[in-house]
Amino acid sequence: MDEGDAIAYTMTRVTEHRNVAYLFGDDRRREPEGDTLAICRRDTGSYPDLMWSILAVRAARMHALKLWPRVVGLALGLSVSATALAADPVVDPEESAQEQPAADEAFTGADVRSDSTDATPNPREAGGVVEGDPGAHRAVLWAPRAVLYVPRLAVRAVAMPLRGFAFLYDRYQLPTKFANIFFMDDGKAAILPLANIETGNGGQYGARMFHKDLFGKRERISGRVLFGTLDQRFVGFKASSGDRLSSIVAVTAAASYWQARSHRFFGIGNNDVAELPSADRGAETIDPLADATAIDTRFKADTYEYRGGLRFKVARGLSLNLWTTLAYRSFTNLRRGESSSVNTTSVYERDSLVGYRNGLAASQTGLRLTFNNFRRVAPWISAATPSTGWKLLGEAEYTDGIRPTDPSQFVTYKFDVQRLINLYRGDRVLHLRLHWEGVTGPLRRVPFVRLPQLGGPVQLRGYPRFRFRDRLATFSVVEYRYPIGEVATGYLFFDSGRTFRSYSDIKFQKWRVGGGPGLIFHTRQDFLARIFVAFANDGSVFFNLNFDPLST
Amino acid sequence: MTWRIFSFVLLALSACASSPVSKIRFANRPVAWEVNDRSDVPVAPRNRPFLMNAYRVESVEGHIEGTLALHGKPRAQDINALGEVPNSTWFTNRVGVREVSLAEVRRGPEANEPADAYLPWTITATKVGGLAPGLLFKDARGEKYILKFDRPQQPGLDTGADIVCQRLLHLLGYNVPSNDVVTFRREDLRLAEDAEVKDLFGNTRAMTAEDLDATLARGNPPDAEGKFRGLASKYLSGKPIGGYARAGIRDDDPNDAIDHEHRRSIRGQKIIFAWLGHTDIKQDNTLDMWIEDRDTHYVKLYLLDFGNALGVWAMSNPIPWSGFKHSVDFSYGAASVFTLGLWVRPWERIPDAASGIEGVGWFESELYDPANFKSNQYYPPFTFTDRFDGFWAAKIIMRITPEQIDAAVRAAAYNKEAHAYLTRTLIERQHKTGKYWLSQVAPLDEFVVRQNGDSHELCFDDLMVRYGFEPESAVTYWAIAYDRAGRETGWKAQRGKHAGHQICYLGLTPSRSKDGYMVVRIAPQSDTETLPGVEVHLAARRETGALQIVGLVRE
Repeated sequence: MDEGDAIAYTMTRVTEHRNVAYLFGDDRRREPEGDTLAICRRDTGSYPDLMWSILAVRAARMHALKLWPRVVGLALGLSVSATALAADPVVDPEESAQEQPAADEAFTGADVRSDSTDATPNPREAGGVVEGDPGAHRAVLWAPRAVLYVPRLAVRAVAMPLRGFAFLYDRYQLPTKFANIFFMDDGKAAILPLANIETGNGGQYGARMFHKDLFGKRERISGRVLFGTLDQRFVGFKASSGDRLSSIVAVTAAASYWQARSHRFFGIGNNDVAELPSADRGAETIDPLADATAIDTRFKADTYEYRGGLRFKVARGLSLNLWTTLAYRSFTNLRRGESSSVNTTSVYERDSLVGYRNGLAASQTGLRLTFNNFRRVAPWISAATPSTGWKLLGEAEYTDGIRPTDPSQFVTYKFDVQRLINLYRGDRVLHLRLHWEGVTGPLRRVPFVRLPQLGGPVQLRGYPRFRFRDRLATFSVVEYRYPIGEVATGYLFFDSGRTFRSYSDIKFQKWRVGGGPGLIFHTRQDFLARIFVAFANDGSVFFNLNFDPLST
Repeated sequence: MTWRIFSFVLLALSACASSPVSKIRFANRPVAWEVNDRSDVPVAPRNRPFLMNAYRVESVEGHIEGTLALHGKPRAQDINALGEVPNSTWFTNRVGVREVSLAEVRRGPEANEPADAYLPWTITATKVGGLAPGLLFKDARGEKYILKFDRPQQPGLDTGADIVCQRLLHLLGYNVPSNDVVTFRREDLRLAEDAEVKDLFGNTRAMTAEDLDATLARGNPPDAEGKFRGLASKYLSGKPIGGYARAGIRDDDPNDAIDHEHRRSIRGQKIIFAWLGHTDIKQDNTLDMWIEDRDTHYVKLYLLDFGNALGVWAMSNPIPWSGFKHSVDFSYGAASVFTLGLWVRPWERIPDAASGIEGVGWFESELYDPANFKSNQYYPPFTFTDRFDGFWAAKIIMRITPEQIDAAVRAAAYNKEAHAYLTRTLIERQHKTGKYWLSQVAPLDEFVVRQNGDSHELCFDDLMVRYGFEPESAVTYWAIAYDRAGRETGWKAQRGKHAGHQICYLGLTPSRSKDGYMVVRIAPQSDTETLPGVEVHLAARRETGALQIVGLVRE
């Protein structure tokens, strides 16, 4: 043979079988330990699985390094044609395998790989099993697997967009980019999305911005903008001098505009909701000051408020706020065709709705003393779900009309006591709350929108917002919080309360009760969102989803 | 006709049920203790990026899908006929199969002195990624390292945990980088002319002395002598191609033939990591290196980053449930929802996991539960971990002597109190691990067959007895021999109340099957229960006729 000539060999794995009488189940009749490898000169067979072109020098080195067993392993029963191959005519894989060190001899030396690895089986063949299947017993599960195939597809379908989002989130460092968009100045400033969805009030969506340390002395500004269904708008700004003037006293200022295009009014009192009077009742309207009939009506309200004040840090957790507010309110009817809701003035006597006809312009001067030592008892508990402590509030505010058309002249007062009781390890917590609120003037001197109110997502859950209003209102909360996961806390609550016309009117009849389950989503440090559904004892249901990250 | 069919079915069923031994048969050849997964891979496989949140989503999805797929727990596939993991690019048997001196344990995989023997260091860049601060440097010899620090006010916490686990994982058989605790002064550091600061987006700028000082300031401050403590991790040789996938194979590496979730060497990590309190398990804490070895190239697989082990993750985050549940754990969440929080979760029984010792994480042994360890993220190989993987892992864990554990802890240069506490706690957790997992299968191991005149002697160890988890007198071992077809050969033995942990049977002779193939089924029976049996498969060597063990089947 001249140098450079090519010679073809065919390598065939001859497989050992007990018999070959059946078309199927070939694996069960195999006896792999009897397999041999045949190598013959020339190419044989029509469809070789692999073709290698190997230089003679390389083939010789393979031979010298005993690489043939590896070739055999790669061949896996395939017939192979190769050119320029110089090798032993037949290589028995079993003989090669027996060149391995015995089990008790294999690890007598240091942790160094030897050339013997060239004679070792590939990873799949190390088990040496030639008959039987250790996993065969799982085959009986084909039926439930088939049933569960559809849910598996559903999981995959749900996960696909999540996975895609997560991929983008990671691939393009979205957390950092989001942080750059929403947080500025090392996290001291942020713009955050807001959303609130509740029964009877539609959805409100917007944003909140704040800067917690404007000039290095905790000077703080914040703003909130909300737009919603039912044509609601809210824009508000607040500022505080922080520690700029003193670490004890801060000057505060605020301004806001709230446009409620579907403010609800259910009359004044604690009555059950009544049916809308039929048309044959004519033009007779209800005097809400004298008749407590409750009918679900709506009106439009525009409110502007400008506030200036002082905040004193009296002691740790104890603070005193003083303020004066100028508030302007105007009310109008819903336009015909604007809403399917009932206009308030079509049911209730307009002139008995104090301030409705001419609007309100009043100064409100007040003080508030608060003590708050809510705290978590362990660092792994979210700051948004404190474990123990007291929160006390006492507030009084004098309102005086600054226009002759505003008859306001009354004092509003509030007392609120909250107690967190750590039941177990700081995350099974009982929250107790008692709230009392009242106004001092007669109803003719108190605009109907300034009366103490119950209902909505905080005060007597289970009832719609503004469901009850009167001169006195009280409610209590018994809430049990329990942990679900790192970012979720569950709670069950039971609220009760009612409104009264006067202290002599206080009685324990027709008490309003609501309750239900809820979830709080949070990070280790901050509140993210809350969702709950509440059921009231008059059959009403109230749902609320509030997304307000980093609020307290 | 109906009766005939019925009779036939009955007969067939009775035939199937007639032999208590499995259908598995092994090739008549010595057990493979090394596999060849070093075939030449001439082109480097592509780099596999790690995307943490995509990883989390896929983990949760994979867990739900896997549960619905009823995949059960198929046996591991990277094992030899004895159920052991042979040497490969993934794993190298060390402890218990060769002498590993205490000096070797202390030294770890690196034969040379630590990097602080080769000062000064030239800082080349800041570390990218990860929460902890770090630097890249070259020592006086030009060897490249990554330098990490303990977090502020926690001297020894991160660096110590990394070293202890790195030493023990190496001893157990895993590939780990060469890590050492090092000390240095600020004046030992020099800034390379082309040193740079990199951010997550790949942006770079020239590194200044202020950047260097700022990085040092983010770690634990220097001691009274002005010495910083750090962890120097030597660059692995070869080309990094990303961590190995938690499931499936690397499809551009022809040597990666077994799905990772079906590798005992990975599935067994669940038991090993439980012992070490290592919960931060993810692809990013592994690294595949495409290396050139003589005239061939292949991929070698490493475990990395153990600084959150030994309860450091739990303490530094802090999360007391680390190791007890996944960060998103539907089972725990559902249980909490439905019990309204009345269910006391396992970690809540720990009055205080903090030892209060400087340098020690939340690492305790009292409530450590080796059966219910969970990593922070769902990790598919661990959902497949079965009692056989657990037995394998516990077996090699138990081979580590208290002196070797002490040597591994000593390498971390803890203070005396931390050293004593961690050594004691690791030993206590080791015993809990062994006691639980060795009892999940027949704890019989180290089978040896010896020719004894015309017959053979089959000996084995009862590991539960050897390690003192069970009294010597508590177990009886019934043994019956079967031929290749599963028929009794007539040989039976009962080893009564024994006096030691090694048990031997005499008088075994090859069966009349081909190669004298025979199966000896040994069923241990304790005073209270019959334990799962173990089949020892034997066949006569063709050259000598002497019986050799060709396989084990554990029930």
